[in-house]
Parts: sequence; structure tokens; C-alpha cells
Amino acid sequence: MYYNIFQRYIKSIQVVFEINSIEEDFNIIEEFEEEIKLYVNSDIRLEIMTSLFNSPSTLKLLHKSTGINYTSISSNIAKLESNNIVKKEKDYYYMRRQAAIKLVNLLLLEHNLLFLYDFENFLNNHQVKNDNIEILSLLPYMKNVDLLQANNINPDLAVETIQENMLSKGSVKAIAPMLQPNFEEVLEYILTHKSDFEVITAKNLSEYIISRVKDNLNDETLKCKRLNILQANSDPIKVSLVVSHNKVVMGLERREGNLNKSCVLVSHEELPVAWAYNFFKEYGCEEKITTLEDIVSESDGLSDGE
Amino acid sequence: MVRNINEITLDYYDEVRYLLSSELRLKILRLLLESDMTLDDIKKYISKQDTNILRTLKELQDLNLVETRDKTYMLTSTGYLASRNIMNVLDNWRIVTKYYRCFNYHSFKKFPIEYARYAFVLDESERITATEEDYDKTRRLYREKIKDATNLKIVLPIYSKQYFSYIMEVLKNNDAKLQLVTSRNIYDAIKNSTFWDDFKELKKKGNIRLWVSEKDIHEIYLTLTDTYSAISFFYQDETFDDATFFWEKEFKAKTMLEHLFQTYKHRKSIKEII
Repeated sequence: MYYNIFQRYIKSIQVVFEINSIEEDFNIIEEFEEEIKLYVNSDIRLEIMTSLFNSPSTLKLLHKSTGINYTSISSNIAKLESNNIVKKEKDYYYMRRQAAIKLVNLLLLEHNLLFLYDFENFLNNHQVKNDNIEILSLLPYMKNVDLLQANNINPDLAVETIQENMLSKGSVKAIAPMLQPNFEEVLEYILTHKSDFEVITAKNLSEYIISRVKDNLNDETLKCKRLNILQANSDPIKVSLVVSHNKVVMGLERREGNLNKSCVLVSHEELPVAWAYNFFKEYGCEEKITTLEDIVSESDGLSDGE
Repeated sequence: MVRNINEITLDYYDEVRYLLSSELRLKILRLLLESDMTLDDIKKYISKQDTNILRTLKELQDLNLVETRDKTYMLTSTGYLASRNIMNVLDNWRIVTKYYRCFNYHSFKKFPIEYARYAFVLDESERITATEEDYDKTRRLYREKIKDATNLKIVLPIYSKQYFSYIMEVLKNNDAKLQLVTSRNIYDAIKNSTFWDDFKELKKKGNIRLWVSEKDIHEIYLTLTDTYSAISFFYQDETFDDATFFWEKEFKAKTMLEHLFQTYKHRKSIKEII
């Protein structure tokens, strides 16, 4: 009997836990609010913390390196020490590792917010919501992101930028909601060079691409190392994305529901590039994949039968 | 990659301070992440006066994080991304607090600073350590967990004959595929080991793909299989800690562990060896 009660108790906990994820998050917010304030509410404390993050220091040295007056340093550092953010050994203060990790999280979040505010005109006219893509909760530290906008001098700027990146050396990944205007050229280039290309498209498009690959198969010119055609996971946001080892180009869908073909975000930085590879990985469905080998062996099979 | 905190320090942290220092702002952002809501919906979760809630909503609207249509409040695109990233940071906060010992005792000197955003992956893991009576406990468990894998992704910072034999065993028995990220000194140790002929052969067959950094930069032993995952760290004195965090089959952070592995592969200082 006790066992049954225990089982029911466990079950009720699980159910409550599932429904109340808002409550769980509210608990986190309430639990850590004071501690977070301790980190963010004082520029002086932030400066002391980033300084100690770099190297342990004495009060005197901190005073010298930051220029903050002595009494202010000692009162703030006492506060940091009593809250387990720094520890004192002999005369030196050390940043505790767990506090350092929390601090870095806050600094990176500030950069994320600055990025969002910088691009709010573009982002808020486009769709980004997708709860199934986890990497959206882990935006990278982004600097040097550009918004390329086609204009009457160069109406194809965005499309050209996408295409140029598709022809990059090394591993290239693309999410293609539609065919490139120069699709035939791009395909021929990929097949006749030592390319490593993966593309995610809708089902009807992937069938078309596969049929065009078949038509272009020619043993003499086939140098492609890897060509994979994947289908998207169910219900993805509509983006166009091309990522190569040193560049990421991303276009979004307008709020009205059509892809914006004249505007793309571009970055050459390492972290946005790595982020984009991960975005691609989460977006594609690895079970629905057609490789170049699949296409070759299928068309070999057909010609054998003739 | 962020090497030094000075690269990411700013003169002001006004945006973080503004959003994170108010319980009400955070709660409203969290609620709207769940769904669009009217004032009445919000009041079901937050017992504050209407004027307080409305003022906070107005503040968030002024920041273009929230918009309103027919008395329904919803997140804008920037509001959505801001809220999700804030919740990620709060989750990290919780996990770093929960596992503070792990973070204080291990060395993260060679970690890129931005990996701090991945702290939350330790959630849902179980830490297994060797005991005096059972010195081989973690290694035995490691071998057990990777035994049935057909896909392995490993960041390897140590060359241990025992661990490496487990990996080779899986590759041979299951015809498994391995993506291996390691450093030059470990790669050299593999070359000089008795496993080298098998390793070479498997690499030729396409079962092994290899990424190598010239410097000894990996301070994490990360293993991902089709189902299970494992992580171990180094102590502050840079010796390897055998204690291992294991994850069971289904867990929330699985995708993120994959991403962590990918970020190792895509680091600029790491080259694929073909």
C-alpha cells in the first residue's frame, strides 16, 4: 500500500513538474534575483571582477590598475567576498571560478542584446520564432556583422553574395528555400570541383535537384567529394543560409510570409560561422538524406538494366 | 574564439542591468515566451497590481521587445531572441550554482571563454567517481556505455592505453564511425602505439575522421555516442580527473552537447587530417 502511495506521489511530482515549467523558471528568477543584482548593479564591482578575472590582485594593485578610490574598492570587495564571488589568500583576492563563469554569461548576454538592438529594424520585420531550434537560445558573440541590402545600383547583391559563398572551398552547408537564379551553373561547379556540399531543401525541390544531378552525371568531370541533399525537420522557420569555413550569409522570411531576397546578414567571424554550422545541423533531418553515392548507384542500376 | 575577457568587456552593461535587475520584467518575458497573453492571462501567473504590470509592459514595448495587438501582448523577434538567451543565462546560473564544486576544482584555462554559455549542459548528468574499493569504476562504466555505439564523437585530451583500447574495440566490433578531435601530441602518441596499424586502416576505410590542433588546447574529454554521453575534466594542477559525468539516453541538453562538439571541430586552430 505504501508503495502505491509512493508511486502516485512520484507521478504527481512528474506531472506538476511538466506543467509548471513557467513556475520552475519563476523560481529560478526569484532565487537568483538578488545575486544577479550583486553582479550587474554596480559598474565598480563589474570592473573589479573583470580585473580579478584576468589575474589575482591586492587592494593596492586594484586601486592602481582601475583608478577607483581605495575605500570604494575595499567596501565592494568585502561585499564580493561575503557573497563567495572572490576569495582572499594572504593579501591577494581571487575570482572564484563559478563566479567567473556567471560573469562571462552576463557579459556575453550584454553583447547579444546589443546585437539585437542594433538590428532590431531588420529582425522585427522578419520571423525568427522557432521553439524547436535550441541554438537560438545560444546566440554567439557577434562583432562585425553586416546587413547587405540590394539597391538600384546592385539589385542582385544578396543573391550574388549567397552564390559566391556556395562556391567556397571546403565544407559548405546551405539551407535553400528556393533555387538560386544560377542554379545550373552552381550545380555544375559543385559536381566538377572537389566540393563538399550539403543542402537542405523542401521535398519537391530536392527531387528536382536529384533529377538534375542525374542528368549531369559524367564520370570524366565528376570530382565532387561530397554532395548531400537533406530535407528539413518538420515545420522549420524559413531562412536561407549558406555557411562556409570563413563566411556565413543568412536571409530571413518577412513577417508577411515571403522570403526577403534582397537582404542578408553577413559575417566573416569564427563564432557566427561555428554557430551557423550548428544551426544547419539542427535544421536538417539526417534520416531524410540523399547522397551523391545514392544518386550514382541508382543511375548505374538503371543503365545496367537497359 | 574569445581568448581574453578584455575582448568582451564594455564600458557599460546597461541592457543586461535593465532587464535582469527586475523580477517583473524577467517574469513577463518568460511568460510571453510561452504564448501571447492578455493582461488577464498574465495576472493568472503574477500577483502584482495592474498598474505595475502595465508599466512594465510599456517599458518592454518601448524597447521593441514586446508588441501588442487587440489587447494581446506578444514578443517581437528581438524580444523572442532576447528572452530565450536570457533564460539560457539563468539556466547556466542555476547549474553553475548547483555544480559549483566541479567548476571551482577543475581547470578551464584552455577553454575559450564563450564556452561558459554551455555550462547548463551538466544538468541531468550523473557524476561517477572511482572509489577506493573500485578503482576502475568509471572506466568500466565508460566501456559499458560506448560498447554498442555505431557513431562516436570524441574530443580526446589524453592518451590512455586503456581508454583508447575501448574506443578501438567499438570501432572494430561494430564497424562504427568515429569523429575524433585531438591535439598533435596525442596524435603522435597514437602513431607510436600498438593501435596505429588498426587506426590507419580504419581511417583509410572512412570509419575515422580526424581533426588535430597543433597545441595541447583541450581540457575536456568529451564522448558522444548515438545514445549516451560523457565528459571528464582536468584538475587545477592539469592532471586528469577520472571522475566522469554521464548522461543517460534521453536528456534535454543532447543537442547542445552535439553543438559543443561541433564548436571544437570548427575552431580555426584545428585542421582536418585527410
